[in-house]
Amino acid sequence: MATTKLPSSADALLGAAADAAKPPAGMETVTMPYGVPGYTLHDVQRQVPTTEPPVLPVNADLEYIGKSPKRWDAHAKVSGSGRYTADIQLPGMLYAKFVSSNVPHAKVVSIDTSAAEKVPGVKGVFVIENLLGGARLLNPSLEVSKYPIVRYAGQPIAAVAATQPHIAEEAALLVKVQYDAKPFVVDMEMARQSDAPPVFPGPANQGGSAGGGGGARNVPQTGNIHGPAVHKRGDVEQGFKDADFIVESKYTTQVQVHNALETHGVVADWKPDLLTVWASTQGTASVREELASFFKLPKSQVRVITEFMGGGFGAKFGPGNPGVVAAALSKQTGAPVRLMLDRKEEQLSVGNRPSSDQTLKIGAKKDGTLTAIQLISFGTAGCGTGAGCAGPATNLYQSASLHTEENDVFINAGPAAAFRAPGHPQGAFALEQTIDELAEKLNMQPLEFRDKIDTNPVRRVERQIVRESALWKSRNPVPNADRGPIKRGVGLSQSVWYRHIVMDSAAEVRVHRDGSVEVLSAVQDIGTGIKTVMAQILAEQFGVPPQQVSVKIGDTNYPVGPNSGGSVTTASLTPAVRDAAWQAAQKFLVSVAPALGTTPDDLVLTKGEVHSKSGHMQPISFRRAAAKMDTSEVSAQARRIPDYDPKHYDTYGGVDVAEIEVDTEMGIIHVKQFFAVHDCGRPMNPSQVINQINGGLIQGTSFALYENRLIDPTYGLMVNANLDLYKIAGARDIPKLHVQLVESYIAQSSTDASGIGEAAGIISAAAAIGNAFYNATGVRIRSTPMTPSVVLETLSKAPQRSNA
Amino acid sequence: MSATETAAGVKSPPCRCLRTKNAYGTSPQSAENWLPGMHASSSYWCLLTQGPAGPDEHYVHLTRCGPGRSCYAAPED
Repeated sequence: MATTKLPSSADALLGAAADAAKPPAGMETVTMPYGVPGYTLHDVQRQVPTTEPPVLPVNADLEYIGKSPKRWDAHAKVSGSGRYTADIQLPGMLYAKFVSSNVPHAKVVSIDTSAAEKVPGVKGVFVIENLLGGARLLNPSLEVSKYPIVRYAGQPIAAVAATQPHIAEEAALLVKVQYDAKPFVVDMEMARQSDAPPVFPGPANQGGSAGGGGGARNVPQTGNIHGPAVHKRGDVEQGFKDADFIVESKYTTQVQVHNALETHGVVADWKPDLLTVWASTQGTASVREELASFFKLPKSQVRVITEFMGGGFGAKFGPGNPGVVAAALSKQTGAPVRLMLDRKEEQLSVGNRPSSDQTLKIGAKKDGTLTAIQLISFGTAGCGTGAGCAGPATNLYQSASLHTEENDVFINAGPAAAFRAPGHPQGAFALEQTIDELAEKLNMQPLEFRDKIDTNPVRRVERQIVRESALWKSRNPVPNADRGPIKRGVGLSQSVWYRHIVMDSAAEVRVHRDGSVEVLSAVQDIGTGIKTVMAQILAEQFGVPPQQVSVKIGDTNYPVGPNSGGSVTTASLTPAVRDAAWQAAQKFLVSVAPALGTTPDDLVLTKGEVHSKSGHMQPISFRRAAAKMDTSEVSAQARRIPDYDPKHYDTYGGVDVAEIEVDTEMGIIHVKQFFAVHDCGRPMNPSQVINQINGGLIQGTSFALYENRLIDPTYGLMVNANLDLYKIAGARDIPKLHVQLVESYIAQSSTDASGIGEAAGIISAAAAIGNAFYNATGVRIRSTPMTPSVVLETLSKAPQRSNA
Repeated sequence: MSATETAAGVKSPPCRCLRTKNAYGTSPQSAENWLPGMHASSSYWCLLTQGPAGPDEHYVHLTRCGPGRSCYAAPED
C-alpha cells in the first residue's frame, strides 16, 4: 500500500498566492486523483483534516483495494452455515402468524380471538388496535373505531404466537373478524374519477399548506389524488415556443413487487433489561431507533442483529408491523417470538414499486439544444405515496426549462415502499425513449444527441466506450431493417443516481498482539458484499490477506452503521473504516516502537511490514512486530467525516446497451445481451460491483418484460401473490451480461468510493429494451411489461413501415 | 440534483413519528435529514401505526405531517 501522503505543491507553485489558500488549523492541503484513468485523470487539491490517512492512489497502484478477492463470507453462504433471521432458534421460541384482512376496504367492527386462544400450543394473541391517543379522526363523520381502517386486502390485523408454526397458522384461521365493508377501488384510472370511493377519508380539495416542513408546500389532495407536486425551472411555455421540434408521448409502467429472496421477518426476544431482535433488515439502526421509540425504551436497551440478510431492494427499513408485533408478543408471552412473512404476505403488505402513467413532452432546437421538458405523471403507490418519477427528467439532461407535475393516486392496495432507484426505472423508460425519438427527428444518432445534452463528464467517457464497442457498431441505424418475422434491434439508455452519504457511519478497528486484526460496525450486509470491502481496507492497511481479517458487523452492539438504501453503504462507511484502520495502525506503531528501539515517528507500516525511515532496523513483518506490542490490544474508532468538497455534488450512472430479437408473429421479445458501462467512484471490489450491475440488469429485464401485480377489480384481491403466477425472469430469460466498469475518482473521501446499487442497470434496462424494440421494428413500445399481448397490440396499431 | 430543487419550502419540522427511507440518509449538500426534491418518490410511514395512515386515519406524508394535525408530535416534545 502506498502510505506516503502525496505532498502538496500549492505553496511551491503559487508562492504568495498560496498563502491565501492556506488551510485553516487542523486542516492540510493534499493532492488527489480526479477523473477517469485513460481519459480525464488529473490531480486536484483538497483541504482535509490532518487526522485523515494518506491519499490513496488509483486502484492500479493498490494491492487489495480495487481488486476482487473472494467474498469474505462466501463459504458461509454456500455451505449454509451463515445464519439468516429465519435460521435463528432460541430456547422456548414461539412462532407467530399474522391474521390479515381478506377485504380491500372496511371498518373492523369486532375481532374475536377466543377460539384461537383455546388451541393447545397457542401462547399469545396480539390485536393491532388504533393508537389514536390525542389524535382526532380527520373526517369527523367517521365513527371512532377500536381498530385501524382496513385499506387493502392483506393488511395485518392481528397475530397469533404458538409453540409450532402449524399451530399458529391453524389458530390464525380461527380469529373471527367482523367487517363493515366499504366501497373500494383498485384501478388507478377509476380511482382518479371524482366519484371514486375515497381511500382516505380526508376532505376533498384539501390544500397542502397545512403540511409539515421540509418538503414542497401546496401539494393538494383532491379525492384520491395527492398532487401535483410541481417543480419548475425556467419558463417551459417559452421553451416550447423556442423549440424547432417537439415530441410528446404517453408511457405507462406497472406495479412491480420487490420479492427479495428472504421475506420480511424478525425474531424478537423481550427481556426485562434488553429487547434483542434478529431482523431481516437494511438498517439495524433504523430497527433499533423505531423499536426504542415505539416501546419508549432507551436505545441502549434495544439490540438488533442481522448476521446475514437475503435482500431488501429498499423495502426493509424499520421494524415494520412484523417487528413491532413480534416484540409485543414476546413481551406478552415472556418468550422469544419468530415472525417471518410467507410469500403471499410479502407480496401484499410490505411494499412495491408504484405504477406510472406519464405524459412527457420535450422540445429541442435544430442543433439539439433542449429548450423544454415537461412531465405530467400519475402513479399509484397503493394506499401509500411515492409514485413520483421525475428524477431522470429532472436530472439527466440540460434543458433551458423544466416543468414536472407528479401525482399519487390512492387505491385500495398495499402501500409502496422504496424500491431500488425509486421512480427512476419508470421515468427513464419514458425519458430515454423520448430522447431517442427526438434524436431521430433531429437526424442525429442517439449517442451524438446525448453528447450534446448531457454534460456529465463520466457518462461522456461511457458513451465513447459504447461508441467503440462491437455491439453498438453492429447496430443498424435504420429501424426495422430486418426482413422476416424475427427482427434484431440494438438500443441504449442512460441512468443517473446521486451521491448520498450517511454521517451515522462508524467503525472500530482492533489490532491484537497475535497479529490478528478485526473491524466492527453495526452495518448490515444486504447481500452486496460490504464485509469483503471492509476486509480489503484492513488488508491494504496491515498487509494481511482479506480472508484473515475478522469482520464483525450487523449488530447494534458495534459502532453505528449506515442503513443500506439509496446506494449509501460503501460511500458512507468505507472512509470511516479506513480512518479507523489508519488510526489503529498509528497506535500500533506507538505500541511497538519501544521494543523496536526507536520512536513511532521513525516507523511506517506498509505492505505488511514495519519499516524504519532512518534505517535503524531491517523491515520486520507486521505479525512479528505485533508480538512486541506493549499491550494486548490497540483499537481506534472513527466515524464518517463530511465529504472533502461538500459543495461539489456528484451524480453517477451509466450507459446500457440492449440487443434484442422481436418475434413479430408471436409477440415475444428475446433479450440477447446487455453491454453495460457504469461508474461508481472508486470501485472498491470490481467483481462485487459487476455482480450488482448484473443483478440490476436482470431485475430491469424482469420489470420490462414480465413482472406485474394483478388485482381483481371485483373483489380487490391480488390474484398472483406468489412466485408461480407472478412471473420473474428465470435462467432462460436472462441475457448475456457484459459489464465494463469506469473508474471515476472524485476526491471526496479517504476511499473515494461511491455507490452502485441504484444506478446498476435497473434504471435503464427497460428503456434500453424499448429503444432496441424501436430499432428492431420501427415502432415505439410505450408500456411495460412488454408481454406478447402488449407487443402484438403495439405492432398492430403501428403504421406499416416501408422498409418492412 | 439541480439547485432549484432545494427551493422547496421549509417551514417547520415534520412530525417526529414520520418515517421514510430518506430520513435515514443525508445528502452532502446539507446536514438536514430530509432529502429535498425527492419527496414525490418517497414512501412514508407512521412510527405509531407502522403503516401509511396516521392515528387520525389520514395518510402520512412530508407535506401532511406538520403542526396543526391532531396527531402531530413536535421533535422537541
